[in-house]
Amino acid sequence: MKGMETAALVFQIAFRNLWLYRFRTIVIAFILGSGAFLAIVGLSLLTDVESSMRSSITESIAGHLQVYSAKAKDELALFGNAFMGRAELDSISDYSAVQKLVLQNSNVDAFIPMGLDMAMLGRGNEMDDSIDALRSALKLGDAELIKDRKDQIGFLLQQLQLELAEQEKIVTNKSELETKKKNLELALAPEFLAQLKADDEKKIQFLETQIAPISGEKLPIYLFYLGTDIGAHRKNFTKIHIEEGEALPEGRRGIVLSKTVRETQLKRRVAKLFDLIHKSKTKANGAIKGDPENSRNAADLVRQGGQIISDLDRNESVKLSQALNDSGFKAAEADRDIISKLKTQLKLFLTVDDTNFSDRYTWFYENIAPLIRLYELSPGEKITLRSYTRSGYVKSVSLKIYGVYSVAGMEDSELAGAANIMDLVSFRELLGQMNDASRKELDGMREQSGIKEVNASDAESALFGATATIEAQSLSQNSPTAVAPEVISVKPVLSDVFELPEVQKGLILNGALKLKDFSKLKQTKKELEVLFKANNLDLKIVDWQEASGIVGQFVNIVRGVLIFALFVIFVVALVIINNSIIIGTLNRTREIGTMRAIGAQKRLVLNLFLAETAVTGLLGAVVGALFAFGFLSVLNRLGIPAGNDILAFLFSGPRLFPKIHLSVLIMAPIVVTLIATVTSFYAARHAAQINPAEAMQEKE
Amino acid sequence: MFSALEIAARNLVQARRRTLLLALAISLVAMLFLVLRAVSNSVGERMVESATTLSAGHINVGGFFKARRKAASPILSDRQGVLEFVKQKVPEAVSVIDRGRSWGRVISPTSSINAGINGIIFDNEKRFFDSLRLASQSEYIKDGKSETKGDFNDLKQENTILLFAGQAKKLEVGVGDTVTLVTEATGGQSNTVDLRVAAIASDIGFMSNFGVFVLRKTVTELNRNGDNVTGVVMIYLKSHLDSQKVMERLYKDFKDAKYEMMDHDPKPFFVKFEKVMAEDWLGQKIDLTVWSDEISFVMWVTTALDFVSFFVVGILGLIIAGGLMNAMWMSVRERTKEIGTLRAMGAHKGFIVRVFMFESILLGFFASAFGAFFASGALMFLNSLKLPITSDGIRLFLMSNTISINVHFAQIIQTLIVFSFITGLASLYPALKAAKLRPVEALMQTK
Repeated sequence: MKGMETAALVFQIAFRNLWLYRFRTIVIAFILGSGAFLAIVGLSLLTDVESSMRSSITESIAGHLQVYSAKAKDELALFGNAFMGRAELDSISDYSAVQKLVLQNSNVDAFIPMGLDMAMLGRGNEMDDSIDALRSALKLGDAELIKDRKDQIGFLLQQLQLELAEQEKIVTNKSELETKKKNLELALAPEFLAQLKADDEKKIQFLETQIAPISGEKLPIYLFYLGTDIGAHRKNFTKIHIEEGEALPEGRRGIVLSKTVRETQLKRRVAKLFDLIHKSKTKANGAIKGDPENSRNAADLVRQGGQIISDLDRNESVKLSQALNDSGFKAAEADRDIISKLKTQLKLFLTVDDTNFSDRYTWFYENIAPLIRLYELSPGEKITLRSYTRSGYVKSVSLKIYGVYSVAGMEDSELAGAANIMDLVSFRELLGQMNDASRKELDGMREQSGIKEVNASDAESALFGATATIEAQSLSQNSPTAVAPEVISVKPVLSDVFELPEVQKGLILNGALKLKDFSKLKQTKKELEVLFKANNLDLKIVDWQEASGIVGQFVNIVRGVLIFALFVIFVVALVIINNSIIIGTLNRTREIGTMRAIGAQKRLVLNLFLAETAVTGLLGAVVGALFAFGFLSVLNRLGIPAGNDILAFLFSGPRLFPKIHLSVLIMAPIVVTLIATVTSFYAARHAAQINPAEAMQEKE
Repeated sequence: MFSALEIAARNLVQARRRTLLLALAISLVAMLFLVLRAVSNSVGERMVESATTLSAGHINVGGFFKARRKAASPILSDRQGVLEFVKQKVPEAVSVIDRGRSWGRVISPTSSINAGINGIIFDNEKRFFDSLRLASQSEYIKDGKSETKGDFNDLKQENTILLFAGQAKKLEVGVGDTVTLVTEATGGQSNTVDLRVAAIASDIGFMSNFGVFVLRKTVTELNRNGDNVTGVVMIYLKSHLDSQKVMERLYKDFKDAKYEMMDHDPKPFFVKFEKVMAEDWLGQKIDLTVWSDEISFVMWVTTALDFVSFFVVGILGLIIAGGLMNAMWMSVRERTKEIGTLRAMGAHKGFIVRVFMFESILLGFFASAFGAFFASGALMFLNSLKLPITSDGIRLFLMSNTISINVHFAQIIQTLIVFSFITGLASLYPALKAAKLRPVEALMQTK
């Protein structure tokens, strides 16, 4: 009871003093309030960024923990490391044993085998496609169609002639060029195409073997992919859903494209430019005028007419020209043929500004997009991937594209959609691993290319060496064997189907672990480390953040900087607060002396000063917290626009909508008040030490 | 004037404890301010340095050649012509050199990396080699010795390659070993050449991971280009600060001379492929960039650093100003009688204001001087330790392999000015309040 009374008295005096020294109270409350405000806003944002990154990473590729061979030369880096290209991981030769072992741990929900790698996408050449189209038209015997296709090839031949003239300016090997020129002249002779008939297989072969290679292959695109057990992957990464096409069936060789990759790397530039400006205008309130990036993109857009036209056949061109005309984009008087008409019209259409952009954007997707090849790759198509195997030689695998996936709720995250997904068998193939099928394939190649049996120890180099030779022959333009049809037919003939047990054991590079209880991650990690050691397994286990490579480190740096900033702000704030208390004490020496003289204990003085800070602190911190709450609520409604790529990456999308974390909101004021009170102990003790007799004597 | 200063100094000495405590807070923040400034400045400098030694001149005359409608090569087809044109139009250039550009894979017996390939003409690259240091063996071989091997001069010989320590470490090769360079030509055929590692240089921050250096001849041969083909003409000026201005002038010159030009786009050349490939033209177009364009993908680091330091220091400045105002306020109350006496003796209001402002400016000045002194000392000590940075993330962020943060004299002066200004400003209100005290009342007040 007595204690209560004293406490009441202490607080009464404290409140009076706070009122008496209003200015000081306001300053301290302001400092602590801004501290609380910063802590709440900063920590909330950091938590949001981290959790969005965490779900982007764990729910798309990484799982909670990752296991890989401890013999790996590099650290696992699911999203890339300090070098361009892939991390060198030592493989786990049969994962089924590891899987069995980790599932013994009660917190491990699943083990998903995987491997990440990168390959070049061979993109064939345009001439080949046109020749194929002509061949089928000839078979059909449709006169109009044949004329169309011949026109198309005629146009391409003329282009080639122009291109060869340019190549002459830069290449060294002139004799090679002369041969190309001569062949091209043969094909360009008026009678060559005009007299081409269905049974002229020789002529068509001439086009295929001598002319098509001149047009060369398009620049290769690098595709990043994740090889995995499709069944296990689907079961455990449930947020992944198919947006277009179909899911990759278990036991089939194939690939599912990531929507992010398709949108950023495989989309026609004209559509991408429309998308970029649209995104900036709708999601970041950007304008074309005044924004340098948007203006550049808009200027670029005007130049994309040619790309659209090259995707159209005659009928489509006429149709598009008419549609543009109806919408007010008229061709010039001087334009005679359909191509030059379209060129003028498209130039008009693609000249965008802030007033007409959204209309043009809609028009483009309604009228032009369906006519052109919007994406480089689409479900249903077959692609050829070429990868450098570990010894540096090229291995190629042809795969069907089944579908396009995205990760629910993370459609805009670059991390979540970083990799395309492929079956494990094809993955091993591209990695250069031998299996029964590839051994058979190799034997077949040996027979055809006449390579002698090599002894077993050289098997690897034999495999890669042999593959590389075949590659070179089928691709190189001038190799004499390239003309021989037998060699052209040497394409990897691997079955599209495989037996499921083949993926359920065998080689992987790393494995993802999904945990039942995420909060026990550290403990589980330790338990597994012990388990591996006990079983003599040379394996490394890392959490999702470590596994994500430089991206994970980046989050750590951001967190480090924020915590450091908060820390420094608090230290300085505390020094200032202590300082003002001490100054306050000096001012109140007489007052304290008097209190002590009339019987106040040292304790009471100490408590009084602590109570003053506590009350001020709480007052300030609560006001700060209220402001933080208001601020975050507004941000939560409006979202924080990601002004640049780095922010967009951190936010996993174009805007971050911060959540209000109740725990942070409540804890921060309490912690701030506590810290302030505890650290003012020094100053309070200082006041309590005042000797009453001396203090009373002290004059002004 | 002088007497006001004297009184201010005396006041500071008299209120020792208060002065010391405030000084501590101010010098702490001044230290932080200086360190943050120094870090962001060092990173910026390191960026210019590594960009202009590794991948770019102050101004770069590059461009694309489209020999096919759907492809693009980062080359200049008329090396001689462009070189002469540039030399004629930029007479103030300190040096004008050219390098071949390509992209490929470097393969060692145990590992491989992707890298940009720079084709140099040895005799032109004095600037480059002057800024490189041979790496000691321990930088790329585990348990290696501290001695260096190889010689930059060996790069004069044909079929040699210069690697950086980080690359050599990853490839597990040393000086004298052979690596294979494979480039993917656009036709799908791959061209290969075996090269001897002639020298291994110390890393230059993070960016040296991305490129290797060979003779220009090697690049033209790999690309099957003629001798008058090069990748980029690099122009070095006396100061990198003039880059933008000279670039704009040169752009106009090129345009006037009827060269086909690409619109200026402040991005590195290797992200422009997609754009150029999609365009419908054949032949040569020239692209001008300044050094910062070629490394725009890392420039955000300095922006982020500047933002963070501005933010943190801004808040700290506010806190300090608040604390200081409070202290001065107390001081005014404490010295009411003294102020009254001064005023009664004929001191003007302005004089009182000056006394109070001088007091806090002096405090701010000396405290921040102490902070700056201490911070520079600490940084110098830290630099002398040459602590290696092991985290790739931090290496990327600080653009350096060892902790090295340079403080410039100008930054110290800046710190002193900023803090004297803040403290002066913070005392303005209490000082005015003090000056407003009426002498009679002030004298009458007992406490």
